[in-house]
Amino acid sequence: MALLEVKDLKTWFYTDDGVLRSVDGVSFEIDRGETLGVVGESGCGKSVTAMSILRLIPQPPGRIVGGQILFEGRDLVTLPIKELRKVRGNDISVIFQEPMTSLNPVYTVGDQTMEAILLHQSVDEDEARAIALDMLKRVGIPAAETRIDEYPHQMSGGMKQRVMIAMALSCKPKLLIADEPTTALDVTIQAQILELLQDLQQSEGMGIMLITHDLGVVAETCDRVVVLYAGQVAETADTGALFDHPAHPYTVGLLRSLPDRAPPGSRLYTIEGMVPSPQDFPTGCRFRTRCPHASEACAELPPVHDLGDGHRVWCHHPLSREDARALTAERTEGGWQ
Amino acid sequence: MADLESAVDAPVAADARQEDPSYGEIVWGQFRKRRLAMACLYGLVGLFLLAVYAPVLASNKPFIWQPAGEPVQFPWFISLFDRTFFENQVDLFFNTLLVFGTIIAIPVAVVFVRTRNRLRRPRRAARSRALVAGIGAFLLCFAAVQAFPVQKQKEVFPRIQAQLEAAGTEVRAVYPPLPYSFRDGDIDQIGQPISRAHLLGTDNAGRDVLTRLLFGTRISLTIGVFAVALYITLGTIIGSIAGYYGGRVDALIQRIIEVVICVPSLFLILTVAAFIENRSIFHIMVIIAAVAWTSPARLIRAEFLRLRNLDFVSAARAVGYRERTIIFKEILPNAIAPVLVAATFGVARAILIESTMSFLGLGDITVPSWGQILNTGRTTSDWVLILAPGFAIFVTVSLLNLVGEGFRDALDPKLRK
Amino acid sequence: MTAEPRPPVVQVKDLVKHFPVYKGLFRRQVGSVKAVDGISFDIQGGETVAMVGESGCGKTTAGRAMLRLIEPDSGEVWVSGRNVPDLDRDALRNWRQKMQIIFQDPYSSLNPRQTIGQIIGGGLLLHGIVQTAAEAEDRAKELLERVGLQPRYTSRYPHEFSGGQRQRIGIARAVALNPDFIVCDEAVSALDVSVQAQVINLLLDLKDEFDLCYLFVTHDLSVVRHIADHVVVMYLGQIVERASRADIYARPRHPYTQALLSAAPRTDPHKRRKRVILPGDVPSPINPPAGCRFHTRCPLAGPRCSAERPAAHRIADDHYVACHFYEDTTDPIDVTASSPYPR
Repeated sequence: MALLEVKDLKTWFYTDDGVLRSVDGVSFEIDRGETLGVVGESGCGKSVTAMSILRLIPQPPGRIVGGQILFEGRDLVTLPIKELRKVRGNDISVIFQEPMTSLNPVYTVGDQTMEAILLHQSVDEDEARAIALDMLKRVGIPAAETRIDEYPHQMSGGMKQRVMIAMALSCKPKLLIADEPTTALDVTIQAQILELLQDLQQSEGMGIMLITHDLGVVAETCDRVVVLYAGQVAETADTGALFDHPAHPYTVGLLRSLPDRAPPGSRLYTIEGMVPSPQDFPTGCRFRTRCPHASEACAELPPVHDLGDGHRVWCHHPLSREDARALTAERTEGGWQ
Repeated sequence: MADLESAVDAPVAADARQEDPSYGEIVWGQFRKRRLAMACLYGLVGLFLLAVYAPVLASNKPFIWQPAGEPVQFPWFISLFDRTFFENQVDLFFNTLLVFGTIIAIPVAVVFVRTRNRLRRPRRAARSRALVAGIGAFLLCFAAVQAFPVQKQKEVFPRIQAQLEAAGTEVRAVYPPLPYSFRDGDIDQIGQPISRAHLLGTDNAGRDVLTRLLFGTRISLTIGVFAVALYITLGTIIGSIAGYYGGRVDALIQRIIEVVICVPSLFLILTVAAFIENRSIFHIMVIIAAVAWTSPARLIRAEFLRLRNLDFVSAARAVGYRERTIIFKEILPNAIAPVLVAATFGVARAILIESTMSFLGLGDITVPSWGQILNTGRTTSDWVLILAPGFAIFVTVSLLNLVGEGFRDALDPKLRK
Repeated sequence: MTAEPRPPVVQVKDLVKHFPVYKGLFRRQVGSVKAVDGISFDIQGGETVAMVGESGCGKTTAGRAMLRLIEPDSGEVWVSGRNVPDLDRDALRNWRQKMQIIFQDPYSSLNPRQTIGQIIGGGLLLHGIVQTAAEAEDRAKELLERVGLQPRYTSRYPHEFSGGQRQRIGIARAVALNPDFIVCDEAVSALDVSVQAQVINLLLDLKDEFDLCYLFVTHDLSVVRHIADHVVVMYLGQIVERASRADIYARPRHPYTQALLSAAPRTDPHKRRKRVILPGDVPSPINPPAGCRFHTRCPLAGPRCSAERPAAHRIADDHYVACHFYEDTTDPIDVTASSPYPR
């Protein structure tokens, strides 16, 4: 049994402008010890999916209108709120994109780390502090003994993100949801944080759901990938397979438009048009308005094709392995290999 | 190039014929959704119309006056511009509005109705042309009224009519519904209680209270609007400069503002007012403006401090605009909204200050402001004279505050959706 | 690189910008943020120079100081033959036509109260490129069409457009004045991948069409690799390495450049590398480390590094490195080793 199994999740927003079907039938699963990358462009529903798992959607206007979120077999969608609170922060933890605003500026980082520990574990304050200190050391905060009593504003962005990770991991969660954890950070700091997450995953054996728009981060850290487009899953596959022979025209387009896979100075491949906003998602296949392979059939909801090894694609005209390889093979010339 | 051309052009909210709303239209759309605020806005419009058309409702000059055997006269119309009757500039202004404003408003309204289906740019151009022409024409009329003062009628028509009729002469006369003067009392009618003839009784000079209340609307609205316009202009300019330049300029202006704020404004107003002989309501407006400019200045300064670091300001500088243009054309339109909301509340506050001053006997005693009526009530212990203007003030201030709140909410992006 | 030698359109010499830091009741100056601390480089006509570095390295300040959107403290910035810091107010306003900027945030860089026509056409009228508002409108329409938007959008307001469309509008505003030189301040960093590709293509096309040169300020190394002819790497207000794109990516010589390239994620899951992980954070630019500013994080640092500021050594044509150990860095710190991702 997978650690987390999301089945046909639908999270809609009821606004003045109509119903926004931000997440509309998303399914995936995460195993223990696995890193699942959830990628997509802005408005594809990746953050809403993450928030739905912990039922943190602002309500109204948002509502989970359908589907199941099975965490170790229990459906989080219907779980009573009291039970859900025990899951939040204890079994499932979240780190957000903005470490600057996710920490409360009036408490020390130690107090904030201890808070979750005291809430979910039966320990006294001294023990909680010891655990917190241990966590801060493990996420690589230098001089943790003194920094535990510092306030967030005394720390750099990378340090704050480490504190966020320490807080998230202090209760030894089985699943860590990381929503763009490194987007606000510099590349050298990003490298530190990603390495840290990988090390911690190996020692703790937790599942990680890594939400990002950065295909480079996915390629370097994830075991499997879910590609979201306009609130629906376009394709899911092992990382290697996805980058090697993507089958969905959207995934192919994304990979082909990356500047680091094209010869310098050449014209980049572009996907026509732009990401539709939730009020005007097309019917049928939502990518059909931008898809070079679109046909009349695409007005119907796309069928799922199972290509083996967990590689599934929701498309009327998936690309063959050879075509995909030919289109997306790296055309990099010399340097920076 | 082909991929680019086709790639890019998908409008965000599809339809080409239907224009997307401008910022003002969005705010207005939000405001319209708030029923209470909308009702209050209608209430304010009604109040304004009452102020403009007050002489139609109440005047002791008959619309038509024709003693038997004599030609028809129109004393009411002539009295509108008669300096011996309407001594005050405020009344002259409103009377000009009543006559010429109404005439000018009709073609302007026609332009507005006719252009309502046009596209935004031609519509705006046509409408602003019509508005400018209308306002220009109105100001010309007002200047003409100033240039040719009418000084004529001293007659008190109801009394003459009574005398004539006693002498057996038939008189054809049509009066407004309230045939009383807001200014001249009737010695026979002093301190009358509520009756069918005087719906709110009369005061200690024999003047009809309802009539005075009606004309008081003119005074209160004028004081509110002009005092606020004055101090908003002043505060906006000072606040813009402080916020844009920052540093020493800002520090200096901030200190000045702090000094002004430190002085309790009511005491300052009362003290200054006590030094002015022959106070007119224009003095009162200036005094109110002199203490109240600090709050819009601070609002604008804060907005400027936020906006001046945004990239569109840098972009304007990179293009090469002058600083004056950047301050007033680039930044100010983005900073002004909260000040306009504050202005609505400011109008209410100015009306209250004027009432307070009049109530304390430091107002302009020649005008029938609501505070003056209150003051009369206080000195004569007549409860109608206290309750009636009190209620008028309450209603006006409430309307203004509710409209202000409506606009504030409409501007608040957080409250949308 | 261009074939025939042209004089550089932009020359920067020893540009310095320090921001004073005040403290206490009397706002005494207690130090200064050394945002840009003596940088020099050239941009040839038709060329794109990328300025890369992490946040706080001063790259944005450098770009803005060159245009005098921030007043530089000292140094020379020659743009199309005139030294920008020397210009008086009116001369500067005129010369701004030659140098434009495209901003990172497509949401804050367009005035929300102005129509697209006003935003693009305003500068045309100001600089007398066109004489009437109608001509400005027509020219704005042409430019909108050129950047891939519908001409009729001139009467619309910025809030009606998506991020990518706004960035195109910002680009149209910049090229409207027919400048020689454009600073692209993280111009594609805030855009989604598919839109980013469109905008990069547009910028490349416009460069040839309008005979522009770009200073491309960014932290995104894959974009730099695609768009730049020369690369300037900054660290704490100083240039640590400056070379042609090919040299920077194939033969980086400064340890910081090597670490930066190694840290940037690549989109090839089969070549998961052991990254060079730099320890610690970028130090505060208020009191930057003495000597070589990188020595607190440098794997090669020796005693000399904390004492002496390294000079810019010319190690090849157009390749300069500010490192004491530039001779020892030819074999970069294990960047190429493709170690399998450990499980």
